Amino acid sequence: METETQLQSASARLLEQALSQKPVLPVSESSVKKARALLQKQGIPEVKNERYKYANVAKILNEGDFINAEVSASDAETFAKNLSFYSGKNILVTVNGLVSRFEAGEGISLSGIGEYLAFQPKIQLEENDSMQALALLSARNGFHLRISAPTAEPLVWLNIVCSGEQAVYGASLNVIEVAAGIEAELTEIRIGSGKKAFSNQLSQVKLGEHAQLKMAVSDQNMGQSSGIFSLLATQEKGSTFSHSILATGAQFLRQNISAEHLAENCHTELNGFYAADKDRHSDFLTTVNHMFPNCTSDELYKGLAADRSTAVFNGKVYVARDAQKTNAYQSNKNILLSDEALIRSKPELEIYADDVKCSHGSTTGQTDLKSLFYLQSRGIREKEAKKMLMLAFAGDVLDRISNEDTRSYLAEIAENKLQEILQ
Amino acid sequence: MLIIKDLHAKIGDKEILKGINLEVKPGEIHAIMGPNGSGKSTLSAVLAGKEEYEVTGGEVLFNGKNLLDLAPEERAGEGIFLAFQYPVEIPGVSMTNFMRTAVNEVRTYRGQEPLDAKGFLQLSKEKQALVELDKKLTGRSVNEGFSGGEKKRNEIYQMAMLNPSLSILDETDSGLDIDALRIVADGVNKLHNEQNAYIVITHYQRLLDYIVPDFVHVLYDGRIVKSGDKSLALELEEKGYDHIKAGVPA
Repeated sequence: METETQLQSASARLLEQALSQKPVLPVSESSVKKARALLQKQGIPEVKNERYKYANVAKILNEGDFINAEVSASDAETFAKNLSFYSGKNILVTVNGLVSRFEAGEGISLSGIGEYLAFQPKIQLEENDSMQALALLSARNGFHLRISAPTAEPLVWLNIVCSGEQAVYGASLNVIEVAAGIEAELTEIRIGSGKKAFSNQLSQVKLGEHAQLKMAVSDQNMGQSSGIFSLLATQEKGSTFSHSILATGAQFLRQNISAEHLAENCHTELNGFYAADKDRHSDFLTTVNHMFPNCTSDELYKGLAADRSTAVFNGKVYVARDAQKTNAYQSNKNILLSDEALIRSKPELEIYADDVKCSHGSTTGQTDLKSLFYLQSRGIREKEAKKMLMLAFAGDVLDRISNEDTRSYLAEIAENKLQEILQ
Repeated sequence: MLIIKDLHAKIGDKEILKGINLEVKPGEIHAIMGPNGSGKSTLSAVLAGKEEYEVTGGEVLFNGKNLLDLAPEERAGEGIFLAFQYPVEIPGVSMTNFMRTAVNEVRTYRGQEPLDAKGFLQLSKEKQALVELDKKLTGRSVNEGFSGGEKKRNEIYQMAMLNPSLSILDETDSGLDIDALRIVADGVNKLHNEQNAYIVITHYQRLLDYIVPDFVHVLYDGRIVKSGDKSLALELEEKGYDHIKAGVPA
């Protein structure tokens, strides 16, 4: 076993295991079959993979020589307990997908993903995403969260990514459900435990009729860890899904978000701010599928890239022929802070209905020198002036977070990161 | 206070200032007039430290220091203030945060204690009254959605807040109606004293009815081609710039 491990590259090893071994979780046969076919066809993404064009996942996995293994729960537990967020009224702590703590008010329930799959073993994947297929086949853990009462304060999910002696690849599968008519808030804080780890998470979000879910995500504490996080939301009639992510920490981050409207009067809002530096990579692929009339979506992603970092935004909006009276807006704005940094921005609109309002825009520029000079001419030092301008740039995104505590928490992270980048 | 000696500057390959000489002493008001493209705004931008302009010759001394060696913010700290012809709108940066940061950066530079929230508010109120700046404007982003007149009044408010020793007003009168012009001029006159000086750059004589200069200079083709007292401004108003252009050797 030992020699075999060393002969194969990490990506080849993960691929082989996923194709040949029975999944740990009781996923339906048809889902497994589909996932295997996709994985067989596409393999672990390299640069030739259209969906992961700028994110060479195979290379990252191979360089880290990650193995798919369980981590010692006690190590992770010790780590989690040192976190300031550890206590709280509504708290969920997972370590590589395994729930290590859960406390919440009435109407918020949690079970292992296995129990959920026993009744509903079918798991959706996005078309052509072989990393989601790999997550489904290689997941060891996960949870089913059901929110059927309003969350008085946001449920804080400490999403811990952790390694053992060797660098660990950990996949997990989660289902988050918000019952009809319920308004819920979920704040996801992603944390790396210091050693290099790679997380591949696939989460399904299901919103009932007129349900509302506001998610806020920070990866500030990911450290050396990397991850691919896929969130697939389905929305019933009149529901609202709002997702805001602040990406300032992970060494490598790929966030996939898709929202699909299953009936009329749905609203989707996707917000993101990324501040990439050093040789970090922040990568976003969002998809909004307008399938029914009278739905709206509004998307604002902004960010900056410094040093030798890369930031990628690919936003897809699909408006089906029947989805009349759709309002879909998308905007992506970037600032390049160094000659060696790279920004890729690709809006994609596919519209088949004729009575719609859709707009998209993408800009990439540098610090506005006129504004900078104006501030400096008033005595404000260059670094401070730049920070003010960057914070204002991020402000548009942060202002969209309605919960004041969450917003100021994220704003502080953003400010600290900008300060660090401008040092 | 300010000594400009044979100052040359260019932007790109184009030489704009071709040997400016000027001395400004405390308490003085200098007006610089001249036709479009003569270099008036370039001169103000070079003094404030805008990067696009490259100084190719000459020197500028401000209270004995070589001004051209200093960053824009250091010049502000030393006491230079530029009222912009086109004040910049900065969405997302609130007026209050901007001004409080600026005041305290400048105070720190000058070795003064930073103002606390209360002290700042008091100072701000006083200076807003000076130029009749609407209180609600300070709650907005810098210059965002300000009318032309409000932007110019905001410049003078900022000037009052930063207490400079040399203020350069770059076409502050452009785009102002007569009432706004009077308010801006009144503000400047109230701030003027024996210790501070002004360089007023303008196209028209009109502003000089309100801010009365001690000296008037005519800038043409990158040089000061004529200097005089306030009567020169009236003469220009009457005869236009053409007779001056005609008298300058090509």
